[in-house]
Amino acid sequence: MKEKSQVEDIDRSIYDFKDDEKDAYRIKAGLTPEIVQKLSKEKHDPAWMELFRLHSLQIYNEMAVPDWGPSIEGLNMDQIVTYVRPNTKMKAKWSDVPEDIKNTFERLGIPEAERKSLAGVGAQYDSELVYHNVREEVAAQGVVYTDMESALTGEYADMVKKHFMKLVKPTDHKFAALHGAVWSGGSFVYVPKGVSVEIPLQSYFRLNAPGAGQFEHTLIIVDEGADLHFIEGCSAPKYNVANLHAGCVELFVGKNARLRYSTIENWSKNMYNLNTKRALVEEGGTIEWVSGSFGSHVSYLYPMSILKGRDSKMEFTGITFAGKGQNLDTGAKVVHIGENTSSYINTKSISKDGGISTFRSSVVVNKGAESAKSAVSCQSLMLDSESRSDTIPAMDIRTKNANVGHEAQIGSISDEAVFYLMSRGMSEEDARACIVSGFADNVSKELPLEYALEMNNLIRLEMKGSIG
Amino acid sequence: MKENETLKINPLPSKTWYWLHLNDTTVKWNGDVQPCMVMAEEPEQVSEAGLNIKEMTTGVGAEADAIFEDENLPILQFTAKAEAGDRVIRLDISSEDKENAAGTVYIAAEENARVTVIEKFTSGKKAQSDLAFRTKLYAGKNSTIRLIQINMLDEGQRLLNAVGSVCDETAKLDVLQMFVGRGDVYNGIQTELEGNQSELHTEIGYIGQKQQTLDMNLVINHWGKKTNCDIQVDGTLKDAAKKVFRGSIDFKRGSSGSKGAETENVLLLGDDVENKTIPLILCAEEDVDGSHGATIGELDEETLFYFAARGIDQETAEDIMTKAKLEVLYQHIQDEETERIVADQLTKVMSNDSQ
Repeated sequence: MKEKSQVEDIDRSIYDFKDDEKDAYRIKAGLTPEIVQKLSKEKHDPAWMELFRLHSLQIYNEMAVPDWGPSIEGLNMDQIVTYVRPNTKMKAKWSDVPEDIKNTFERLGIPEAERKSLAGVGAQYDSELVYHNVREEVAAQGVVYTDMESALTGEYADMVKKHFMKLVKPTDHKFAALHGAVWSGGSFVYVPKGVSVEIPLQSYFRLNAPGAGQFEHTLIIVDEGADLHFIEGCSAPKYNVANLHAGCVELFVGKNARLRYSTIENWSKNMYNLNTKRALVEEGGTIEWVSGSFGSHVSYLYPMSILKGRDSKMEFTGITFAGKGQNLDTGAKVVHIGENTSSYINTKSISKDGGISTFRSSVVVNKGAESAKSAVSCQSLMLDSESRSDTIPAMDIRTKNANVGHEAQIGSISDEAVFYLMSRGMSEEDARACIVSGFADNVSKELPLEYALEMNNLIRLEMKGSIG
Repeated sequence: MKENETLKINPLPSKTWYWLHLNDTTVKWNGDVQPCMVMAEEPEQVSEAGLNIKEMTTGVGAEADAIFEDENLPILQFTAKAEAGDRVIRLDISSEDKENAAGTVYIAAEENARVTVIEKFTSGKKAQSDLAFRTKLYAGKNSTIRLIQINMLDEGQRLLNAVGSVCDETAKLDVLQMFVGRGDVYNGIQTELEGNQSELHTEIGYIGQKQQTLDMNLVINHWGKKTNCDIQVDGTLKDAAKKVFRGSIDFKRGSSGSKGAETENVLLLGDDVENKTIPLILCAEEDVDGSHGATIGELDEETLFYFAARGIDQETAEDIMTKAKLEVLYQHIQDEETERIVADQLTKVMSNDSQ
């Protein structure tokens, strides 16, 4: 009879350190028009934004909690603090950031990464950006990389107003409405026509306050013929109370432009990650998503691409690793509108130690999307029978000359493969870790080297102690 | 049930986004039903082995199942015994002259028994009519049931086909469905692979034309160890036909060593077709092997080139391929009389189409 392997829980010491709570201001827990108005006042919103927030709150109150995904019963909005301002203003030099917050980002390796391999960095601590900087030579190309609050009132105010929550409307779902009401922080990026940003920009989101929510808004506009790689990282220490992340990412990819959006999500396991990401792609444009979901207690995450322009393309590469106490519902959505558009979704998911992983997707090919092509491939690996792995892919095809393919597989680690590696001198633990790393290879290959190494380390830690 | 009640039928076992309209299908159905006409050999009582057959769930869901609870509706019952050898039960089912008819059949196969059930759904006299039929199958230990269902309802007529089944240890259930009528079809199959090493093999072939709707829901629950299922769905959509296929393979905890596979091929030939597909694999057991694949689109260039090189135009090539897909399937019926009926029906449906 096959023997079961024991799998240790992840060592999250890299992320689980906690800072003292020294915030300058935190709003009362809960969600009322008064709280939203107060938040708006604190943030010196323009008048239209205050109205937008109140309207979003009304929509939030009218909409039902989704009943098709993981349970979010443990999330009590009356106990969530929607705004926590750290005890500092935004700085352009790490040396000016308060010592305790700077230490947090040092431990996460952000300043070092900036020095080595990034064109610009934004660092958000709780509800506000505490650091934002972009390399001079990149800024000289006309690239704008700033915090959303500055963008809202500065030179690009009209552009922000024109695009803000136009792609993800508050009416989309309950947590998009919540985001519209209480959003705070996040980044605004504008890459002008024809500009190619050679090295990536990165925003890192850290939530330190227990029982708080983070609602950052990321708005990226890549103009005609431009090229950008944007990296998003997120983490938080674990507390006994629920934390909430309901961010929103809106990406506008212009004609013949290309945007790669990479995310390594490593929220703590008390986090409800109800994030919404969407891209609109114009003629000949390309959106590439690379997504690693490792943290959170509950996740609802399905980046959506709208292929509006003729010949536009989308590629999604994702991995989800659900361990003990985690219910991660992830996947991707694509809508083909333009002619000759193409999409490719390739995901891997791993469930272990009672974790639940669900792959959920939708491919919609509209009637006018002549010659659209789409391929979806999802593979799931179950490491024990305490865990669960589901795949729920949907396709809605309304064009006769579309070409749509789909394949999915669920299974366990093959005994033969483990035996093969053991016969060549590997321990069973190493053999299983090696197989799982190989399984996740398609995603790690797409990540910048440092992130690929981090992901492989996470997998190795997950697999430690897997002796039959 | 009330008259013209709105029903949610063919529910997915695990919901997804509502905007896709795939979690279930809403239909209006007249709950005031009359007995349908069933031509069959003399039925008998289902033996003790199949007594829990009444409790079985079908794939159309609880709201549609309520249609069959009317006590005036006939329930035919058959039992196949091992000593009787290979048995064939033929049922010709029709709404006859009624606008809204329904009926149920229970079939139990005792240990080691082998039975083939051939159900033909034919047009009644009314141009607009609804026919609801429910088939419940109990496959006893090491028995084999083959269920062959042929739908030949005309345009304007609707079929609600509810199938529920349970397979005991090493039992085998083969389901072959041919939807070669012109009426709308709502088809729901649920199978419980309860016994170790029990099996389900399903083949479905269809052609959807004009404004026709084909709405299918298959739910296969693997409970026993080393259970096996495979689902093959193959069809063509023309004109403005609409098709929904929901196929769910659910590996329950304890179903170790089980395998499940589903494959769907859809040929899209109409300018206004709508094709929706959602193949689920739900898995609570590590030691299983589940897979699904789908190919949706028009005829590939290579095939068209092959035909063109032989002087055959695209439209004829599409007809040949549509027919060929279904011919392959009906040759699996292994009953000469039924194969001939399907072949004739297919010719009729295809020729009507080209007129």
